[in-house]
Order: sequence, then structure tokens, then C-alpha cells
Amino acid sequence: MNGLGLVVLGAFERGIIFALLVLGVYTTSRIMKFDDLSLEGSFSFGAALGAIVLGWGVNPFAALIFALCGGMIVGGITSAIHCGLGLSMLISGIVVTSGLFSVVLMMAGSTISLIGTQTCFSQMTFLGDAKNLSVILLCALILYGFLYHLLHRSSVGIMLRATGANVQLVSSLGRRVWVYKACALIVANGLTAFGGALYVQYVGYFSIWMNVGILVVSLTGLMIAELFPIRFALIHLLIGSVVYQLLLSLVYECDIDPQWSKLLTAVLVLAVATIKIINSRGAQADEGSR
Amino acid sequence: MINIKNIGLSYGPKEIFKNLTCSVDAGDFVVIIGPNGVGKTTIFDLISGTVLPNSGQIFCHGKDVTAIDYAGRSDIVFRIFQNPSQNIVGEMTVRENLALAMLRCNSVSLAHWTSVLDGVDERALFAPMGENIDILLQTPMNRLSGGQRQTIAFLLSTLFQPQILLLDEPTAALDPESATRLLMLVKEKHLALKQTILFITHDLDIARYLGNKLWVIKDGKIAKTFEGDEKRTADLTPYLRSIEYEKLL
Repeated sequence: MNGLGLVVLGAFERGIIFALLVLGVYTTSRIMKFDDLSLEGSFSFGAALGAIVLGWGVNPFAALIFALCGGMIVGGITSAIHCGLGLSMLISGIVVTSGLFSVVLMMAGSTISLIGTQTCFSQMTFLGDAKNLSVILLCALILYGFLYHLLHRSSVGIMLRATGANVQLVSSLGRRVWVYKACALIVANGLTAFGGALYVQYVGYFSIWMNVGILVVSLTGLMIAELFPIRFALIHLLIGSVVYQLLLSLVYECDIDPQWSKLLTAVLVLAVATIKIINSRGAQADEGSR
Repeated sequence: MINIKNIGLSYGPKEIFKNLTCSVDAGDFVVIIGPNGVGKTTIFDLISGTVLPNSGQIFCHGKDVTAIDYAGRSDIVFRIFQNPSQNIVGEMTVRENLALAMLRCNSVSLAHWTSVLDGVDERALFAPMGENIDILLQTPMNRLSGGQRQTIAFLLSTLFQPQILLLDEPTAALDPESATRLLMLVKEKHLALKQTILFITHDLDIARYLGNKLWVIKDGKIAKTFEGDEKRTADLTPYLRSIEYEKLL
């Protein structure tokens, strides 16, 4: 495979891993209509947990499940702070992410190298060059399938979407709103932690700083996905994440100084947000002219 | 059916009710009028459990429900708000809203949401809408008019026949034709289902022609009760004045 092919393949692989985070952000910000900053902490917590249990010789796929469960616990703690103590969602997320930084640092230190450790990818060498993409795609499709069923096909999903849109109506049905908020937070944080553990196995190391800017990556992927006119199940979210990684890779391929990378991300986010605003104004105008 | 005893309620220094006492018999259709800010909606908040009182007791069917919140009273009380958007989920289709209403008496699970619609006669339920039911069911709620949304919210409330139905100015945002259709439907269902209904309005004609009792709320208490023919002939203007159109000339 030539250089550009490798760049594109890498962008696809990273995009699909980060698509799991996009799914987490989608669940909280679009379905439940609140912004959960604890997802940033869950990513590094899942990454650290995944790396630690790999070091114990645990099966790499089981390590991903460990991370998923760890993330779900983080989601449970966030919901307990938000629903139990009554702190705002924003503050609850900040509290959990801040606390998790120290927890992760104590658990894993600043870095863990996975050189010489069995990973999901090293166990699939029989798949050749396609091993990374195959494993990542398999994990993503399983989780996307589960979440699509949960949110858009099951009766739990109907209640979750109703909780995000009309809390009063959910109470009038005799349902406890906190149950559904907690459910969404547990799922979103679990997915994000799974993504963190998968990313660690993909890059071969854990770093305490690897979650910096991860929410921007997820949110930008989500915003790009929302520009697509055609949406099939939740696959547009996956495509949005891949497109964002492809754009970033193309920018880096242009030999732009890495110190500009955050500014370029900011410009990209601004461009996507502007297109969204223009589109929504157009839709409102169409609606008004009916 | 509903007994409200010596209810006291204050929002900070503002006292809304002081020793409010009233009762509603099973099957009553009580229309409530009164100027803004006298506590009409707050009575609904107290009966539904949205607001818990500072003092006093509320009994429904002889059971003390004073400390039970909105979700806990949902098997007895259902409330339809003035704003149609509060009664439905706008971004969901009519069919999804129907499934949501059915989840009141079905368990929430990972099974496909349409499974809760088994046994529901969607055509009969939405027949009063007078639309192509197949198209209507697939239409997102926020694409419907306020009148259609309010009518659907009312029809969904008839699915599980709550003992007490609270209607808070349901026709306030509707045109006269839609309002008439909804009011006729409310009257028809009340006669058929014998639910206890409380209905807040600012419309004196609705107050006269709908229901069997009329409460006038003033100064945090029920200042006057009219029943039967008396409510049709009574002069209600001292309690709720009409718009003074001549001042606009």
C-alpha cells in the first residue's frame, strides 16, 4: 500500500474508533439533550483500565469489556451526582472528569507501553493488512447495532428519547426520569470507555494526556454527520467521524506545522457549525413558506 | 373522589393558598374560572403532585396522596397542559407517541416498541381526527397544528382512562373550529367514561356550557360554586370580565 493509501486507511481506522465516542456524545447531547463532560474522563479511564488488565495477561477482547464496565460505573457515578445530589449536568461532568484524572494517574501512571503485549490486533494476524480495520469495524458495528436498537427500536429508547424531549410527560406516565437519565449516562460512558480501550490497543500505548481534546473530536464528528442529508440507522455518525479524521489527515499531509493543528480544528468546527446554522435557517424558511 | 383539606401553600413570601378546602365527587365535570394569578393552575399542580403543599392534606378515593409526587400519582391523575407541546413529544411520530402513552401500563423493555401497540385499535382511537390514519400515524407531532396535537393528547389520555383528568386551558391556543371539536370530544368521552374532569378556562361561554359545576377562584379560595342550570344563567362578569373591546376603538 502506498503512502496516501496508508494515510487514508489510518484515518478510517481512527475515525471508526472515535465513532464510538461520537455515539456516546450523540446519546447524551442529542437524545438526552444535555452535555456530559464526564465522557472525557471515561475515555482515559477506559484506556487506562484496558491497558492495565492487558498487562495482567487478560484476553484483549475481555479487556475491552472491562473498560466498557468501568465506563458504565463512571456513568453511574455521574448520574448519582446529577440526579441524586441535584448538581447540574455540566458541573457533575466536570467533577467526575477532574476526579478521574487523579484516579487514572494513580492506577496507570502517566504512560503504559503495550509493546510485547497481546492486543486484539496482534491476535488477528491471519487477517493480514486488514486486521486493524476488521477488528475495529467489527467492534463498531456490534455497538452501533446495539445502540440503534436500544435508542430507536426498543421501548427503552422511546422512553429515553421522551426523557430528552419532555421530562414532564415521562413523569406523567408514572416513570422516574432519573432512571432514564442514568441509563443514558451509563451507556454513553460505557461506549466511550470501550473506545478508549480500543484506541490504546490500536496505538500500542496509554498516555494520561490522550483524552485532551477528545470531546472536540467527538462533537466535530457528530456535527459533520448531522450535515448528511441521508441517514441510515446511525451509520451517518460513523461516516461523520471518518470524514473528520480524513480531513485532519489531509491537512497533516500538507506538511502544516503541528502547532497549527488546534487552530485548524477550531476553523473546521466553526465552518461545520456555520453550515449547520445556514441549513437550519433554510429549513425554517421552507417551513415558513408552506 | 378528591378531598382537599386545609391546604396552605406559599412561594417564598407570596402566599397562594391559606386553608384551601374543597371536594370533587366522582364523575363530576368541574369548570374553574378566575383571573390570572389566583391559583387555578396551582390547584392542578397540587392535585397532580407537581407541587407539594406546605400544610394540609389531599385525598384521592380516600387515600392520602399529599406526599406522593407527580409520577407517583400518575395512575390516578392525568393532566393536559395549555401548551400542546407539553403534552406530546414533538420530534416523535404520532405512532411513537401512542406507544409512549401505552408504556404507562406496559413494562419498558428491549423488545421492539411496536410490541406495546398489540391490541390497540389505532383507527378507532384516531377516528375523531378525520384524517388518513396511515399518514397521520407516520407524521411527526411537530408537523401537526396545535389543535391536532391537543386532540391527540386528549385521545391518548382516554386509552388508560385515568380517574381524574385535569385540563388546563386546552383550547387556549386553538381556533374556534378546533376548540369546538376538542370540547365536543371531551364532553362525549366524559359521558361515555364517567371520568372526573377539572377544566380551567378564561372563556365565559365554555364555563357556562361545559361541565356540571363551576368554581370561581378568588383570593386563594373557591369564592363561589354554581351548579346545573344556575351556572348557565348566572352573571359571571363580576368574577371574570370579558375583553373590553370598546377601549380599543
